[in-house]
Amino acid sequence: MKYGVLPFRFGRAATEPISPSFDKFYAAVAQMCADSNVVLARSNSPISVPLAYEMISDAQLMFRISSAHLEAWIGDANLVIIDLANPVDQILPNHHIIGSLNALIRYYSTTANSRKRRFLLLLPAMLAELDPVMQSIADLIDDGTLAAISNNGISLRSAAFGASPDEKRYVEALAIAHGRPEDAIRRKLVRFPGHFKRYADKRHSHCTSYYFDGRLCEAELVNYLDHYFASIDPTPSETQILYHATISRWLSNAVEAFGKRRKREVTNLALDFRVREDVRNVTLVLPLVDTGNTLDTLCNLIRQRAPKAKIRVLTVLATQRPLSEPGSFNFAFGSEEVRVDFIAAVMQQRFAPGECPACKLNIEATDPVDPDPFDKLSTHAFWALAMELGFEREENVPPYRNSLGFIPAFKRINDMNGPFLAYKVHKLLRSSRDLPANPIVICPQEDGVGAIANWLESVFGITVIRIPKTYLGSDSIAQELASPPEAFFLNSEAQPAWLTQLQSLRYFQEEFGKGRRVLGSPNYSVIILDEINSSGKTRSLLVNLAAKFQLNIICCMSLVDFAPFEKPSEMRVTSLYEIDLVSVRDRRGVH
Amino acid sequence: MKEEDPIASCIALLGQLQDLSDRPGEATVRDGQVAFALYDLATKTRALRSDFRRQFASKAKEILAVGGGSPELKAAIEQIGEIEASASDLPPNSVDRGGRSKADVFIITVIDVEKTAVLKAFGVDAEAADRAKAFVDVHDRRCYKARVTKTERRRGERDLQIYITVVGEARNVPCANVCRDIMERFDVDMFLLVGIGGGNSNIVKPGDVIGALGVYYVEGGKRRLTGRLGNIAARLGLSTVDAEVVTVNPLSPAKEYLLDFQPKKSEKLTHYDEITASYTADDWPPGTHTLARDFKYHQGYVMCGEKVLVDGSVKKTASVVNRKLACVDMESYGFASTCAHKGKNWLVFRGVADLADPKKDDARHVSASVAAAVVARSFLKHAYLEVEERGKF
Repeated sequence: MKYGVLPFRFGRAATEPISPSFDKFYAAVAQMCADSNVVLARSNSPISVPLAYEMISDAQLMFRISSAHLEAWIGDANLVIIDLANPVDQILPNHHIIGSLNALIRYYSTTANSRKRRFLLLLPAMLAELDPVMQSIADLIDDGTLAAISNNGISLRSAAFGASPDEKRYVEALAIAHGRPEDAIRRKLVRFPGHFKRYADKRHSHCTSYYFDGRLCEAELVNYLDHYFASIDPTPSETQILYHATISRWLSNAVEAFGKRRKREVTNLALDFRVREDVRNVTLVLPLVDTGNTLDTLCNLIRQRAPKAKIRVLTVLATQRPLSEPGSFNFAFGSEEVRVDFIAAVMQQRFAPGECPACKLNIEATDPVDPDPFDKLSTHAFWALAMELGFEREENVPPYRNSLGFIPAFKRINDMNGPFLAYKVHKLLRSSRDLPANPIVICPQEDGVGAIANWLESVFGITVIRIPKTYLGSDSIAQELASPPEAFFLNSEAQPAWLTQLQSLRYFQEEFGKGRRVLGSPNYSVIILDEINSSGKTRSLLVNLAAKFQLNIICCMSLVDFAPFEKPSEMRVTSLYEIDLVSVRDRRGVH
Repeated sequence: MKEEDPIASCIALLGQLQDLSDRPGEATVRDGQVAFALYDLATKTRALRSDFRRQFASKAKEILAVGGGSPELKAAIEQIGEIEASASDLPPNSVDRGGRSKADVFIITVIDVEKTAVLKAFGVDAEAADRAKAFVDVHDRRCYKARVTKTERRRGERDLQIYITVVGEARNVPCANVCRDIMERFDVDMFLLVGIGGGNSNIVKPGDVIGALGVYYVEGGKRRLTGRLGNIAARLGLSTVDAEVVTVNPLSPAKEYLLDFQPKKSEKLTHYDEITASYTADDWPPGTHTLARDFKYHQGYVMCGEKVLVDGSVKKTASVVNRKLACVDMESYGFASTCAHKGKNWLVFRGVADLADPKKDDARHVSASVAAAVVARSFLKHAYLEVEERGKF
């Protein structure tokens, strides 16, 4: 049996290649609907359809764009999976969406080599049967043309549909495709550099160089707590959930959200030391276990209040552990030991008072409640990252400019601090009001900026188009521009992803143009991102490429700008950090 | 947007330099790192007042105990030496106690064509200034330095320190915001708004220039339903809107200087011709150059609103508000009220680019901008007097 997928992605601006994990997921779902082995229909474009606001409110437009995607491959497919439930954000379909899909299913179930073609609709949540949207597709479900299944495995189908996804297996396959929450937590943890003074008994005990923040992974933490408590806590009524968050608002948000989701009482010990005397189990959730002093104090206090309770600890972060998978260790307090489970192990350097380099440099202490007060990188943060990962002489100097000499090892910095730098890029764009609703970033395909682009994509849901440097400035795309805009649906397998994405923007610009012209400009606006700017050459090549596809430039951003005083006047240029290296070196002829 | 204090940055960098110079390690790498830190310091000190720049540069040289090192490091140290030297050259009164740089006059323009005309009138080559760093960025807005030298001036004892910038966006609020940004960074004696506007055809012709004796904001209003008219309106379900005109007048001594000022015709013409010669033919729609060449200078009032007028209503408004209302624009109220609120001297010079009627087009934008810029420069040469000399004449 052959299957094809129509994967909608809400909150994206351009088409994107489907990730390998979702390729596997769709294959697994198709297999659940088949009695024999399944294969992908010939020419099924392994690319997504961005579900733009215009499509959500215009059934005709939705139909037109969806059918352009389907036309490329549906002739071969017996099963069509329509995905409205998956990343980046999901959307509960409204009557425009279902109306257009309804028409689409009716049309393609009777045309285009329609021998017994079935459709499977993946939804984030199942709609009520009496919902008018659902009623409009009731006959399709009754006659076995369509089945629907939601993220929690609830399905709606008739016997005429034949083999269909098993609810439990579907949920498992989806969980595998989404990845484990602990992996997402580790990926999305932001490590803020700074000068953090720690106190014990109101006295300065030591300083640390980093503050780990989970503000970007609160949702994943809620999911993790869900799984964690389901596995360790079969009798919820006998367990009290406590947490201790003084400055980590992200932990407080996550634990409270989990409490609301599961209707469990959760107590922040930092605000209210309310431990039930008669409780049999106490689970304490902490943001970080570092020296163990706080944990020791808390365990002793809990033991005083609840002498018979079995104490268990879950910490999101633990220091001085091997940097590997989640794990656990035993922690001794008084004459007892408690088991401490941790999600991620992190490295934290501690400095005794008088030995802290930041104290010696008279760097003001960073407030951990607001560890990142500035929109750009602070001098201390930049140098902390640079000194941690070292300097190196610039390699592969382009022939059109002088070498920058010894510069920080940006590739290593970006790899090690991806979430932090992506967070900074996002923050700067947001505060300078350069962030549109469905942002698109165009950047060169290279290691340094690539790491940041990956984080922008996976953490902030920004569409990233990576252009190989060999194509920048070449005229080879002129031919592509001559092809009809909708051709990318057919060509997507044979051409690079970046070209498909740019072509899709051109196609959507034409499709959405009418409505957008009323608002001002029919064209998409993009942000140009580069790792370092020195001569401005890459920037101008990217700008020229964007212009060829009639894209507006919102701003050009570089992580570090070595020519901050040579900004083009015709566009906004910004960066996380600025050092004037180019003009001085050029003037002095330093090579 | 929240930015790091440049002094805090420089202190952190001095610490970093100290740390690097104390750090053992391979000399080549360390020299490279130190050079990098010096360039960073040189970049950050650009935002500081001159005495702070000098201090940071001296401190950096002290830390490094200058001598030896790789060519890269030597070049960076020379750069620091240059900062020290250039900071020393600045006049001692160039900053106030709040750390703001001093400026005699700050010229605000709204659109690029106005900025270009003013830069040309004050002999500033923007590209050369960019290369020579003869500018200051205020909130990412480039402010070019210019001078009117003592020898050019009719009275006064020194060169005037002038800055020129462009708002880049029409209407009152952006203009007011820019003025506030500048006031945060500069202690300015007088602000000039120089550019173009629409004219009242009863008083002016396209190309003429108006020096504003006051600004009327005419688009404020209040709904009133009083009196007999109000009763009738209420019965008919209508309402009347009374325009509420707000006036802002220049403070003393700016107004006195303006009243005393009349540009010399010969100088006006010569300067106009010099500037226009530096434009290319493409900048000039046919005929507009010569039409504007013999422009006249008027003293009058400027009417300000939020809309571009093309209905010829300026004359009608003038008959109600003030018959000397010669010109209309969209920024002077925001500009004047901000300056007045902060107790700063201000004046507005507007070149008439059109008559705000249905024939309005952009053909005379360049010539009217040049005319206004010529008059502004003439004013600074002949009428303006710096703070310390006031009262002596």
